[in-house]
Amino acid sequence: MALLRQDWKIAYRNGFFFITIIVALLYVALVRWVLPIGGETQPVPLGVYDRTEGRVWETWLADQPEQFQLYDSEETLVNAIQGKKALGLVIGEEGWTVYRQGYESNRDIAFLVSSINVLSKTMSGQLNREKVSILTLEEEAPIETLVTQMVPLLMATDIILLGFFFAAAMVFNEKKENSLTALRVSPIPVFRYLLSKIGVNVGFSLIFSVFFLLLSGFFNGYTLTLFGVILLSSFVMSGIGVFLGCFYSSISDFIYPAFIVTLVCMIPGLLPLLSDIGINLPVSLVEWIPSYHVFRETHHLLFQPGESQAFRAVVVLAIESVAIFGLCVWAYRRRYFRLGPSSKMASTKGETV
Amino acid sequence: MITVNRLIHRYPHSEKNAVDDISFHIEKGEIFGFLGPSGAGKSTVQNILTGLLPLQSGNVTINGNPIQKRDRRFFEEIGVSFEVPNLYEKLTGLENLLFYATLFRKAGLPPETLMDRVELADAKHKRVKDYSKGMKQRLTFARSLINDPKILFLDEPLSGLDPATGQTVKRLIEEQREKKKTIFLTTHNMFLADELCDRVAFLHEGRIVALDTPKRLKLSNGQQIVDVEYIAGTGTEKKRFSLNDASALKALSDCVQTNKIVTMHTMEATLEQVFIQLTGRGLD
Repeated sequence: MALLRQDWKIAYRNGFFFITIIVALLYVALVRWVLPIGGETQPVPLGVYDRTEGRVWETWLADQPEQFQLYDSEETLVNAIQGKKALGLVIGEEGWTVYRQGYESNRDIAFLVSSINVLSKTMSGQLNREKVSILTLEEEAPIETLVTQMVPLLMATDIILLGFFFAAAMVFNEKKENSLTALRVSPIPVFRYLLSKIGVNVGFSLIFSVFFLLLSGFFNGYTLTLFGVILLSSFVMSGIGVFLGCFYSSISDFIYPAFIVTLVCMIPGLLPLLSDIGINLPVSLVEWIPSYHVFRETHHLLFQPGESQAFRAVVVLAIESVAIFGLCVWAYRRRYFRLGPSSKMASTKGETV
Repeated sequence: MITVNRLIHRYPHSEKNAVDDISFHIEKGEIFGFLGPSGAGKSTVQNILTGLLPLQSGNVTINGNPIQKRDRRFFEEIGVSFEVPNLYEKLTGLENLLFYATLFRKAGLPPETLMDRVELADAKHKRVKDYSKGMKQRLTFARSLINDPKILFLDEPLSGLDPATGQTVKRLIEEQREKKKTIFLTTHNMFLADELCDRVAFLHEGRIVALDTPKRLKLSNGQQIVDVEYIAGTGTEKKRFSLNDASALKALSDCVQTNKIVTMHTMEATLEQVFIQLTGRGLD
């Protein structure tokens, strides 16, 4: 506890706490006041096929090209809109069919509803609304807006930034001050040293999450489960920071590996974008990226009340936590703490011992 | 207490040994000085003894236990003061000592008392980053006493200290000697070694070139002569007399009786002169 208290004090005096709070508050402001709710700017195109006898509505529809795009068969319509940001409507005497992609925003749905209302009004009672069926081209998905996409991304990337960079910075600070050397001639066990560094940063991640979720207005009953996922993923990321910190002497040497790790951890947040450009990564692979679970569970917390994958997330992250902590113990034992005749401790003349 | 036998250490990518087949033994309660210029291998030996560097070749036992088998108890019983201060700069001096005190099961002097003993009582609530080099050095030294260690490893403990604070630290080292603590003192300060050490080893290019008490080293390697300066006419004159020769002793006696003496010095060698004589180079 003494080490944890001391690490906390040093991190606090290094301004880590204020950075955490300021970043959280900036993100709160971004989510609450800057990003537009339902942030899509253009309504999606609506493709229409008139299946009625004699195509009685075709002329009327063709007169309003700014609202409707006409197709001459249902098959042509479906082929034209599938996989694109577009909706489809088939008008028939026996009923209407709406084609959607499955990830439309509120604005798109509102546009669709208003289009149907306009048409039904125009058709003056010929439409039985109960006969309107909606077919989803893709798997059912929740309504997404810019905010709904940004919140999980901000959560996931910042837990990486806080845990990963702060943990490495703490190690580099001790290397710079050479205070690590003093600890090496003390009876402190290596696991206590590592747990303290990681523990402080897990604390920062939780503080960030509480601030962000509470002030953004996204706190609900599921939050405790999310905190469990955040705790573990932050443990993993801080562990990676501490592990890599063992092999580099300063933050400037650390830039390149840090860049790669950050890039990898951003992949889960970029999955929809990657999918749009035809890159589909298997979930079985992506789920081993710690940020994936924070991203997914935050998304679930905010917009997808149903069955979460928290249990699987906890299992995956627990395995990763044990693995990365084991690696840290191995690396620090070998390089800095407790040695035997064959240990590879820092023993070059230039390196501080 | 500490036995080193045929110790060899070579740094990676180096073509010669930093420590080259050295052996020595330190008794309990002894202050053992390791004297040599920078790069002679002094700190390398201390780092091997304290566990900061691996043992590559040779045998080292401390309290009869091989250092390869060191455990938590070993670190409970040693105190290490480094040449370059290595403190938590964002913490205050007192916070540094309080933190280190929690790492040990055994308690030494209370941190506040230690701060007082190294004359840092007034600066105990000041952050270490605002300390001068000398203050940091004193705090590093105080930290080495936090667990009341049985063995002290002191690397240049007076480095960066002014004469007055240097005396304070010297007194504290002497106190440790009175408490029968074993002290391994690494320094290139010949005066400190001469004043404090029971025995000294001269280290040159990784090898021990001499090991004895300071007095015996000076006697066996110095010249027993006396330089006398006396009034002669309107000025002064200097003469040198050997103390090993009966006729020279008589000449010295005559000189003292017949002249007005201005200065008279025995020309006993200093440790530095002995070192130069043995190695052909100075301690700096």
